[in-house]
Amino acid sequence: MDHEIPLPPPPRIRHRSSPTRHPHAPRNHHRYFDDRSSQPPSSDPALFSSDDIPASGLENYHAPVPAGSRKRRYRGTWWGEMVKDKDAKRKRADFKDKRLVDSGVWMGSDDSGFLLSEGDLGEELLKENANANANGDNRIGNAPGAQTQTQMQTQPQQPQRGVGVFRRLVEEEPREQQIARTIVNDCLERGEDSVDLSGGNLRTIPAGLLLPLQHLTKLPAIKEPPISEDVYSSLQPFLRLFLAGNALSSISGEIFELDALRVLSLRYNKLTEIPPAIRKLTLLQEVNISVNRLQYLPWELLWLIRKGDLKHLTVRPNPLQQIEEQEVAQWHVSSSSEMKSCTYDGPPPEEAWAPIHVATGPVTRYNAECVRVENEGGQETGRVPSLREVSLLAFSRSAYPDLIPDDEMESFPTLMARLLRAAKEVRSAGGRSCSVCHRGFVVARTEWIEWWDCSTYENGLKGPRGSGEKLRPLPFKRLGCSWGCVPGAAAV
Amino acid sequence: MALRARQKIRAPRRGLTVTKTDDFETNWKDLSSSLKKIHTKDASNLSFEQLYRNSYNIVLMMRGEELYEQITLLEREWLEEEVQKRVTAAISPSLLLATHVDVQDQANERREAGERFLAVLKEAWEDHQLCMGMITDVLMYMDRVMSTDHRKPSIYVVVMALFRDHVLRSPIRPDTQTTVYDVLESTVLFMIQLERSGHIIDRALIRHCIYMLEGLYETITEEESSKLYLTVFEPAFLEASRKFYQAEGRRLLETGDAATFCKSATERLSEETERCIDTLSSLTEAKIKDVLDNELIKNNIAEVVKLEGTGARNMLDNDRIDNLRSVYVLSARVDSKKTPLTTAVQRRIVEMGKEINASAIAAAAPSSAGKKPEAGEKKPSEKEKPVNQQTVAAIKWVDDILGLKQKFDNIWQNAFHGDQVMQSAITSSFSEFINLSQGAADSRSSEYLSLFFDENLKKGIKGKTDSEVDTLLDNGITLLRYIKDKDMFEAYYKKHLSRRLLMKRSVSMDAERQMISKMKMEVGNQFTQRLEAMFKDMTISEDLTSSYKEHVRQSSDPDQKRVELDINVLTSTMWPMEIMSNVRSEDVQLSCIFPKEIESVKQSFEQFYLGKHNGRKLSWQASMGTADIRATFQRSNGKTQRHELNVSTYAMIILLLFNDIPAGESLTYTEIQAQTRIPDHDLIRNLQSLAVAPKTRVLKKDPMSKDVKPTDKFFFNHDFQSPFMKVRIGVVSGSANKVENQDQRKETEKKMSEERGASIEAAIVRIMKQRKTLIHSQLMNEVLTQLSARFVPDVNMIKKRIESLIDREYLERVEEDPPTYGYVA
Amino acid sequence: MSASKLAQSEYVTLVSGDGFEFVIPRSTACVSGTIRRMLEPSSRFSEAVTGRCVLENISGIVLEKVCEYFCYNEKNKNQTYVPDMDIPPELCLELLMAADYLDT
Repeated sequence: MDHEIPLPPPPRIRHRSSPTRHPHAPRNHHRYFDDRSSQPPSSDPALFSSDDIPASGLENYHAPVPAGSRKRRYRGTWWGEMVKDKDAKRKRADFKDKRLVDSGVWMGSDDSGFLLSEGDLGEELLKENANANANGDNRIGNAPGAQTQTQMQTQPQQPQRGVGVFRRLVEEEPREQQIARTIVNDCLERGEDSVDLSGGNLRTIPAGLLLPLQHLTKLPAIKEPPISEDVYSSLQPFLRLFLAGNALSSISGEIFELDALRVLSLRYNKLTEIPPAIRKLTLLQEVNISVNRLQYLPWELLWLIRKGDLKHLTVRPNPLQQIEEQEVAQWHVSSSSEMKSCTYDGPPPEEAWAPIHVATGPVTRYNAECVRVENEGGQETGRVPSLREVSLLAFSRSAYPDLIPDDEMESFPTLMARLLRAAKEVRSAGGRSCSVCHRGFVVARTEWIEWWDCSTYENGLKGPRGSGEKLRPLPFKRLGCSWGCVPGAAAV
Repeated sequence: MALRARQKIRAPRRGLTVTKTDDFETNWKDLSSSLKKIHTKDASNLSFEQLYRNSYNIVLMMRGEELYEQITLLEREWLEEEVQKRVTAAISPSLLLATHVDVQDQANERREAGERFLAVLKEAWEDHQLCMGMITDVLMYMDRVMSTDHRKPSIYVVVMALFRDHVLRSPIRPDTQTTVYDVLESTVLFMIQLERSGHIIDRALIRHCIYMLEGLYETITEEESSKLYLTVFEPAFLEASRKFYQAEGRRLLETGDAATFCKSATERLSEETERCIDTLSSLTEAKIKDVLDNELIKNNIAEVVKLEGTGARNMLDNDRIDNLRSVYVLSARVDSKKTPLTTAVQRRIVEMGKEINASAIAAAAPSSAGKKPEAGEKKPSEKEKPVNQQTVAAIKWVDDILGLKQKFDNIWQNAFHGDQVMQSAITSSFSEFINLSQGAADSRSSEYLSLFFDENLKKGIKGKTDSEVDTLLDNGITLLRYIKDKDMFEAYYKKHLSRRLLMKRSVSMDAERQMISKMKMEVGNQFTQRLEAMFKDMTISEDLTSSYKEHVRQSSDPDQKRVELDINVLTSTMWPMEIMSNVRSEDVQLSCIFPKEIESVKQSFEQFYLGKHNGRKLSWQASMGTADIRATFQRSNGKTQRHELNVSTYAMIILLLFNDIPAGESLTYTEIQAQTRIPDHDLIRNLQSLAVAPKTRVLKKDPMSKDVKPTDKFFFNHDFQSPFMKVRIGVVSGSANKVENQDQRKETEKKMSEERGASIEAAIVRIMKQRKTLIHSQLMNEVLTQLSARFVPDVNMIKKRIESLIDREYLERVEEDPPTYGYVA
Repeated sequence: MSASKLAQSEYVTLVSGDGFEFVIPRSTACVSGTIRRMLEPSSRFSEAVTGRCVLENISGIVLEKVCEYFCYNEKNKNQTYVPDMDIPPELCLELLMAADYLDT
């Protein structure tokens, strides 16, 4: 059941409808919400931030704005509508209703607290940090100048209690992130397991945005009697995350903590790399990473395919490396270097599905300081990590990376500072593990491209490979943790 | 909270970070004094850790670049002040003599000075290497930071470049342009020069200095190709070598001995290889060999091959395999075609071949030297000897050529390493002289070769083992390969074969068949088709004869005296008919009149044969037959003597005439002629053999002379004496295969050209039928290739045939430019 | 001469800045590039002569961990499967510093 191939989510009409509905009233809305945000927070702002969408949608006129479509459902005043809407939907959890009867004052902070406790970040400081973020997340307001994430992190150092401070903070969270948070919260509340953040103009995935989804639970459908068989459905969420049509240039490690994720769409972004940590999403069934800036795919994606769950992979179009233009160290298919003759002539049905290893590119080696090593003759081939690597790994798994601010990093010895930065990056991308020996690592010592034909999995399972079918190998980048972890080395 | 955490992070930096910022000076002071100690080989009191930590601290203070500069400065000073002075001090004035030193004493002096200098330089270099290795180790941390963060070359590379610039490339005296390197180069080249002229030098010392040049680079990126050795020394070395070997080449040529030249050149080659391994660098091996190949070998090999008296010709004549091998090996180095050697070998083969041709002609015509050639060939009695001589000459010709072939095969195998190019050159030369026309006439090689086979198949292979026969035939076949006009050979072979078959002269039918199959392999199926048909006719005839005999026994009266008949029925198209009925040119020859008995046998056979094969026509070739007759001689003393005579069919007819005339009566030539209708030519020859040949005078002739005149009378000779019961009476000059005389030859050639004409026409029609239209030149080409297996067609002949075909409307002219023909269906 | 004799001695002594001494096999110590150069017999530095390396700026507690690493490296250098080495998080930065210093 779980392995059923999910249908793509039905197109949401609201994407398109909202901007057309409010094409001529941008500034008014701005002012209106400005005014409102100056009032003490009294109700669940997150839910209302969706109203704001048409305004921001104007700045980004052509982009589909997700949450705005909500508006259609409102009638009358916002408070009245809200209750009505929820009642009508019946999907609202009881605690949400309960919250509504309470005053709005606690809602903002309490909501964030709720998020935090769910996040279970452990570290005190982190919690504080996240708290601040979460606080900021739930404020309403337009951000005149979008602030970057790093600036956000410096915030907790300042005294920050009081309304005025709140307002400033609120102004610093980019609008699109606020909207995203609203959508996530809404999903959480409604037990909606299809999280649609597409077309949201997100440049980064803000910290703490996705993590709560780990704990998403579906709500049982409540229907009027008579109750028939089909009312009962699984409460196990079939988590789907749509981040298509944003402006993401990298993916944070947070996404890889969503181990229940079944469908992930990152279509139409600005990604240059998919982190190897995608390996952690072992339940993934469908991945769409087309229309990005990917030159290669992570080896781990192939691993997911071969493991059996991932059955629908959409990668093209992307500026992927073409095998004809790349150096190849070894061919694995019988036909020679001519790709034209590189056709499938393997056995019929069962194996005809399996990805085929077409070729392996040359290995690039790095030393313990991430510096590329040119000559490879007579190098050691042991798999023992260097002491630097051992320490870095421990570092990347400890709490330190988040404790050392960037400016302090600069005061470390230059060589060390660089390694520490690398460790931080790896950590934020969800960590790495060696594609040969599976050890976790920080500094890749080897790197190479393997060419595999996965055409049977591309764009959904259609059928096994026909005999004589032309292979269309995809480049998968493999990383090794030591000079002993190279193509052909014994796996552990 | 954040503050608390940050304090915690700071902790590890305690103890590692230097607190005082002005420590650079102290650190550097320590470091520089220690480095100086390293230079003076006084390191054992120094702690590596301390030095390393010093440099580490400086780098952590972010003053790594400063350190880098200071080190460079320090080393530069050291090299300029100490090392350079030490090295230049070791240069003695004798090393600066630019001119070539010839005088022995001077050479020795210079060599000693050179060795002293090289030793000092070598030591300086090795010290520098060692110290720099140590200093680089100490400064490793700086290097790591510099190379990764500042993209600077390793300090080791920098100090090596300093050595290059401040020692090697420093002037030896402030007032001169000459640098230490210049002295090094000239010294090393001088040493090599010494070694080339036979002196012993200190190779290891030079090798060490070369190591130095190999360890220094022009650029700091240290690409392989920018080694000083490759950029500076090697070109100089090669240039010097070039000059040396130019001179060496001239010197060796002047000695005028090709063998010496080759020996020296070979030695020089291995000498230079050795030098590259022991003294210089193996990088140079290929290049110095190029110099040798070009200067010493390529420029001189042609002259060496041509050297009068000792060159290739001499070597070939005397089978100097070893020398030829070195010439070959040297030639092969510089030229895959080995042109000079190939040319020499080819020329020599043709020369020797021509000699063989000439001697064959000379041997064939010794008599013609004394007598008039025309007479000698026309008179049968006189002709016998020269004809035999010619045959012998033909066989000798073949043997000589085979000998020559053997010789060159041996040379090819042993001296030329079985080289393909050489093989085809040799083959083409053989083919050239074998097909060379001799004087006015065309080549007689086809005829000679056929005669050679004829002779061997008749007599030569008697008592030889199978394998010997095999080799013999193979040799002959080898020559056949060289013959271009294979159709000519076929004609001769057919003629000779037909005689062998009909006269039963073959020693072994097995050998004959073997020969056919060998030819088939060599020349092809088509070639032997007719020959095989001849064999087939023979076998069929045997069966026919025996079945005819059976037929006769059954059908006729057993008591009746019968004439036994052995018959060969020959397919006229397969056999060379023209040689059987000798005179073709005249009017239709009436068949000769057989005696009654014979005529009846003939008719009986015809009846029998035509009964079997309706619609065929038998024509009797009496000239080719033989008969066994039993003759009774009435001696004057009353006794009778019986002899069995084996005679030709014509002779049998003549003799039977005498059965019908009373004893003592005679017949004149004219009478015989009238009664038998034997052609004059054959009649004369038969009468000669019956009445003139001394041992077989069954007839008496009046008058007793050699010539036969129409008025001559012939009597049966009852006094015929012979020690043998069976007497074989051969026909003069008729049956043996021998060299043709001029007339016969013309006849053959005429016949040949007719046949060729037909072949050409057939080929043209075949091609045109397929192609429909074709340009003239293409048609010519195709005809030539189609026929080349059999003969080389004459271009004019092809043109004539094309004309003729156009006249006969097989072809038409389709276009004039380019001339194109079309096929008329 | 003494250096070459010592070069054959099997053990070397590593001394921390606060005076702790660790005697470990020479080959094991040479996992560190810095120590390997320090002990290089042809250089004739005092460490090479005496076989005793004083590492002023590494504390005993860190050096102990470093030595543990040396042994871990030596033991696993030809293994296909290399187990992880435990590093207490609070030591990781200091160890990284030492690793950087010792080039290992």
